[in-house]
Amino acid sequence: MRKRKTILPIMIAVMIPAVLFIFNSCYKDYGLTTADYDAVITVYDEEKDLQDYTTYNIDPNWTDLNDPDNDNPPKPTNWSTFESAIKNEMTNYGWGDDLYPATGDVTLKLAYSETAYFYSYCYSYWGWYYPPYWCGTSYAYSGGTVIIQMGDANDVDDDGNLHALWHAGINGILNDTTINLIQRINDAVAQAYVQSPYLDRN
Amino acid sequence: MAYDPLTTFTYNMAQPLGELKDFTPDFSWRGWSFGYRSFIRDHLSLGVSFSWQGFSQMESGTYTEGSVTATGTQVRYVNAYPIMATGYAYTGEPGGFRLYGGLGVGTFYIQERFDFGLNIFYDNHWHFGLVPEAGLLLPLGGSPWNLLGNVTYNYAFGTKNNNSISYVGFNVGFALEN
Repeated sequence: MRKRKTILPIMIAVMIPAVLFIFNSCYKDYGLTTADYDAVITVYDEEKDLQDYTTYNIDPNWTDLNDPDNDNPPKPTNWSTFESAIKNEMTNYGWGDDLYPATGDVTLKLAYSETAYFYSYCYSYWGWYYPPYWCGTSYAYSGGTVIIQMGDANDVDDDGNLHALWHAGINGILNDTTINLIQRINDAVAQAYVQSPYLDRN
Repeated sequence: MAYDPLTTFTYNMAQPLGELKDFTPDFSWRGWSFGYRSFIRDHLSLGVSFSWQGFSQMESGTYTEGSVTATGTQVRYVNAYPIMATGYAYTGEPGGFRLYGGLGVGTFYIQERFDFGLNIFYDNHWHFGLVPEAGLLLPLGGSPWNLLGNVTYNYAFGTKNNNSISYVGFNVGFALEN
């Protein structure tokens, strides 16, 4: 068999950097926009009949989940849009108006996180624990996230925490600066209620 | 005297099967393989191969499991890297059309990734695996280059914590006689 000068070393020298490049580009880019990263997650206490509750109030004090011990953190950008959207959805679902400063059957507590990872918890008494712990069903939130938690105002534990009835996490919105952010906030809050038909009192 | 060894490189396409198809059902157009085959007999080679096949799937919608409902865009990825010791038997002679068949035995490195909104979940793991293969070599003129085409069945066995991974590969490329 005629001898040929092998080019195998040359091919290997080309292959190694090609392989290293490909290892770092093995994930197809679907060209997702910022809006595509919006996500809405809701959880409710299956053991409670939410039709037993008729009125609500919104606690005007937001919680910064990156600084949970701060009783008076600054509110997030577009906080009024969130609150208006929530009130609108609650009214649409037959809950009436926000009774604050009076207390309703349930209290809505709002929280936010910017550029932080944290986990919510399985249904238990209400508390903003940080760093988080696992108690069964857990969810990761990252980037800009707004949490809406509905607690039973008449079921309070010894630490003053309300029994959580419903929880909504809206993820991604705080990170965006596009001109359609207000519409995306309204759409995301509306989606949280669309996928929570058990809240509908009509 | 044994034949000259072959260095191979192919562009790979693949159809996912089984549980992989449940996770990422789309046909994969993203893959490659390179290998080296040394003839220990005139019609029998032993060698090695290293490959990559990328699977992905994007979906948007609402998903409910028990008391949990989630709405958003999810993107799923599976990258499979089979690393095989190979053995093939051939018909014909170098310089002519040849058919071959054989088996790769080795390991798969699997990267799984699940994106939901801004959340990314990873799981990487190793599996023992087999890759039976059948193909052909077509020489290109009087050069040492051959057109290479083959079909592979890639099977990574399940482990205690991970499901099996399987897909059929359709590959075209070149083999160079060294």
